[in-house]
Amino acid sequence: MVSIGGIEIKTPLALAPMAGVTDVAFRTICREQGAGLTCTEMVSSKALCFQDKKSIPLLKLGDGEHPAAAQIFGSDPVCMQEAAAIAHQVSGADFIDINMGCPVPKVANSGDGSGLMRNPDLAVKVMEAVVRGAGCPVTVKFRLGWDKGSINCVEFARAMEEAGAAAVAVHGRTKVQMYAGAANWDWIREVKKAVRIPVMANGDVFKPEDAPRILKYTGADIAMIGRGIFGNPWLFAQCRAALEGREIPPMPPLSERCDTAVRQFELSAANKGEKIACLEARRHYAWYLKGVPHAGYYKEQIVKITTLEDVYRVTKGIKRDLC
Amino acid sequence: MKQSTEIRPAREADMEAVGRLYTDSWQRTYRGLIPDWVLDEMTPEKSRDKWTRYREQKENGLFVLERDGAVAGLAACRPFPERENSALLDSLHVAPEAQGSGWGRKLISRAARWARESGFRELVIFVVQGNRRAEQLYRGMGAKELYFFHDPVDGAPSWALAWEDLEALEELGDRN
Ligand SMILES: Cc1cc2nc3c(=O)[nH]c(=O)nc-3n(C[C@H](O)[C@H](O)[C@H](O)COP(=O)(O)O)c2cc1C
Repeated sequence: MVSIGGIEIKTPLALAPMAGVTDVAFRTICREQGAGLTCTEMVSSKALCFQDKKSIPLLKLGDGEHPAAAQIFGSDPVCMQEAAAIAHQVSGADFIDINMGCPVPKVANSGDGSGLMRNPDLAVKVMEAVVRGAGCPVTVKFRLGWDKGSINCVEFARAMEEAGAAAVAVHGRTKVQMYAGAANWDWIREVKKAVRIPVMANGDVFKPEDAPRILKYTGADIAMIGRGIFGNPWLFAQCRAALEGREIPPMPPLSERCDTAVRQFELSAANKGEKIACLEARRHYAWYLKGVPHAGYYKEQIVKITTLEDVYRVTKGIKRDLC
Repeated sequence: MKQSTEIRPAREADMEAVGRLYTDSWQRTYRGLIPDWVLDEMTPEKSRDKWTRYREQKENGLFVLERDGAVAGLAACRPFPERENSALLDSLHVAPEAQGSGWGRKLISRAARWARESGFRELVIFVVQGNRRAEQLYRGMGAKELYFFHDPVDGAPSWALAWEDLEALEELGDRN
């Protein structure tokens, strides 16, 4: 079994951190389906250092959500050290994860996220500072490099290991690619060969068989799943079956999927309040209904949801007309 | 006295003024909506550098509103790879002295033209919850809701809205 910094990961399947998507409610649902490692959405180190209270709820873990990481981003070592300490204390997470892969211009152009891949010396200082501040093992997630002419993930991974990282997660695309094109798993394999710490392979796991395939292809220790999980937490149970050589369980019927969605929104409402939870539920519910025939009318209803009562009403209609 | 006003692509020489306009506009519009630490960290110099880099990327579009020789508005657009065939109107600002004359609408229309000419099929814009004037303007011009989210950098609750008919949006700029 793989262990990161002495902490065992029982199922080698991680849920990729995704801002605006993988909140505590959705992570709870994914864990029920077998995710072995989860991570908070990314939180700005500056917000933490400036004691901006809004970012604190993002760091909250679910009941029994372990092992889990709290992810922070930033490029000022002093601020990152302090943010790591705060994030660990507030979240009680097992790991602090540093985001060195975010390609969003607002983040990367100010030198944070994937911006650090263009400045490996500073990235090392950031890693060392976070290791000093965190009080727990530190992991880091990054990409292949800035663009295709400057792929440096192998040296970068080595430098991170040297600076004290307990594991690395590699998304097989460059910053410039954002999410376009196919993820390149060859480079992830090269990273795995170059370091002794565990490697998480990330990029384009969309089907159950992709999980064993990415692990076999890259030799990585953990498969990390992102967009494939939108509205489909059952992918975890399916990937797990595929890894264990069991028959792949089918997706549950639509009515059960709706029940799961509703439970997610209730959990979210308990955490963030009904109003915010319902506004965010619009996007999630649309994902849950992706590919369902004749759902057009209900998709229009979904974008008007503002209360849990609306959620229940729409769900009742879906079950009556579409199941 | 007749004033001369036009919207044109930004030049290198505009960048100082763009940096000032952007910083002023944020600090005025967003106080109370976006955390103070974000606003207090902003300076005209940092903003100038940001927009200089933005303009240098050839896939981006940066336009200014010039009024009697001074920069009085800004529209910035770029590809939005999170969605298919999508462009993002990253930033839209009109100086207080130029507000109320429809220049915001004309800047949006200019961005729509840029998006269409660049081969995109929709134009997305983010609006911070509580910025009612902007939200009304966008929705009034036909923007539809895509999703609700919290900005990952400053935590501000925001809407993603989108215009799907770029030609219609362009035409809205021709009206006075
Ligand atoms: C909506 C969205 C939000 C994301 N937010 C984060 C984030 O907060 N931190 C991070 O490290 N990566 C983030 N990512 C990147 C994912 O973690 C992952 O690396 C990427 O989606 C590739 O994996 P996939 O092909 O399985 O989706 C985000 C991706 C998406 C689509």
